[in-house]
Amino acid sequence: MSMLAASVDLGALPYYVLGAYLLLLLGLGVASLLKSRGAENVEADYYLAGRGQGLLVTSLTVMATYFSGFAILTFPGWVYSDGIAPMLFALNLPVAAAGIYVIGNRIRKLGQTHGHITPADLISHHYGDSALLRFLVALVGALYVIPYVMIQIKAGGILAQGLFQNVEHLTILGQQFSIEDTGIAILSLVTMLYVLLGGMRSVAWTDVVQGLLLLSAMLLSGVAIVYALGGVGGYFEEVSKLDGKLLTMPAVGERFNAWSAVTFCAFASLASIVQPAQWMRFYSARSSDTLRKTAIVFSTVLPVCFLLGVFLVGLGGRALYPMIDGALPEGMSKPDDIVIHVISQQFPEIFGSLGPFLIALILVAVMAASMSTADSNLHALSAVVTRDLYHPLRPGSSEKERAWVGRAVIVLATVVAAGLTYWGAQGTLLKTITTFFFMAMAFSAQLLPLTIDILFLKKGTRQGAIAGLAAGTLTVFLFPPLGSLILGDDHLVTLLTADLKTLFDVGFCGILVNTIVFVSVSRFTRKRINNLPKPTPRS
Amino acid sequence: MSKPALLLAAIFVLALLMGPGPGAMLIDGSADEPAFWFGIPALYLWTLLWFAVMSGCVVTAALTVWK
Repeated sequence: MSMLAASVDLGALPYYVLGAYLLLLLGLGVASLLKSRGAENVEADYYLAGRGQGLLVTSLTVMATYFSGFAILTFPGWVYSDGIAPMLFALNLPVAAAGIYVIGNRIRKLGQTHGHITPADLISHHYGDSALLRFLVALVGALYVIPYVMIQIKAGGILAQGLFQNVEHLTILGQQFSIEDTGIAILSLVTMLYVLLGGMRSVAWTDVVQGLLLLSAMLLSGVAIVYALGGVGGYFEEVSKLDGKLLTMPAVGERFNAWSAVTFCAFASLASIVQPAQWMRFYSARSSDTLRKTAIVFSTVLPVCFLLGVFLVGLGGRALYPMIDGALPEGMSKPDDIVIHVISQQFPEIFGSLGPFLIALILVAVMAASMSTADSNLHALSAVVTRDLYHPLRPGSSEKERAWVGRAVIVLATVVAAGLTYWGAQGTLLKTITTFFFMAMAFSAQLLPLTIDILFLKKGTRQGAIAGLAAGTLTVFLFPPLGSLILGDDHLVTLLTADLKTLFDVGFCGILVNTIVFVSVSRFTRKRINNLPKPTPRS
Repeated sequence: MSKPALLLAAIFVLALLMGPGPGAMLIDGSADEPAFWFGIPALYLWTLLWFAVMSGCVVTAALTVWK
């Protein structure tokens, strides 16, 4: 693990910074527990913070949930390895911002009117309650949520290893544990505790801290690279010397080509908006005005942090630390390391004695990005299991009983996720879950046709919704890497979907099949219902 | 849908199709000779431009038609 340059000695700083950060999170968990005391509607308070979240909390929790460590590590890593073209994929941000109001506010209104808590509540209410439909919606949600919880917990452990690079292992009760495993255990425990304590309120409050840390880190790293290359003029002078391939669009069929960018921006953005954790944030917002202003914040703050922050690091990093004969420079084991590499090399020079403190703070911010995604999805998973699976099985269960079941789900999911990352690290299980992680957005995208129909068109039927959702989800399963896992690399279907994947976003392909089936079955079943003999009125 | 809302939606969709799509391939030059505007890679400025247009549409809608 060479995340930090060997020349940087952070001393005891990481212990203080990480310790203060984790204590702050637990403090917010306790504060949110105290605030929820005596709430009339236990379930709505635990899962939706009493539907009363204001602008600051809503905007930052939506942003922190939208981005995991991907924002500050993977995206600039793509720019480092592939140049400017991946930046165009970030045009999904304004699309998501529009979705927050146009889709999110309608979801909020229906949720408030009918007391919905999960996506399946709203969908089942519209199409008529059906155990199969509720199960399918819960399944699509779980296919998004479970891989996200696991991978983010794993990422937190890896980042802990980067933060304490001079410590080889810890010995606890005579047992030796690596820093990564210890990090996974501590971060899982802290996340589980504050989610258990305050539910949505503590998740959202901690998201405010984590979101501010992440956004500051994104901007600060952009400042560092521009300074390192001698100001704005020097920056673009150095960038202009890069290989022309990095400054132009790839051909159709290559990675990050224009057509995949269009379908990604249009559909992956909305897929992230209709995933269960975001859906619950719309229910939690205080008013239409809150979501309207959240859309403004989202569409202005995030693009600035990307375009003038971490993207500049990826591109400038390629000029400052070039790849030689395709090999990464010393101190980087993968392109994703570029942001950490730049700040660890440049911050001590730019910020003097404050440099090591800021390095530790940014490493904690990256960890925060992972935790803020893990906690939101852990909380959403609890709601989905309790409302969509447990409640239909035990319709007579009280709110209090369901709240405790929800908490039990959080404990169980955390233990299983941490256990799998610990014991399954060398096995195929973690690889399989990682495979699902890369397809998570394509799965949640399958809720889009139903959502659009419920909010705007109102022409679909329950049978159409079930058939469309099943067809779209199955379609996503056929694309690599999942298709390769199920059918093998040489299967005709896998070869066909692999070709399609180079042109279009996978979620878009699933939505296309989903919509065709949804519309066709809805038209057929609506006609059939209309043609049924009307019951004779009693005299 | 009101006329201003329709106009904003049309600009937004056009920007989404033009920005990351075919437009980017028209202005970027070639790998041998990438295009520069004001000494800055044209593709980077192109990205900034469409970000400004699309985010501008969202902000304008939020301050007018969504109000």
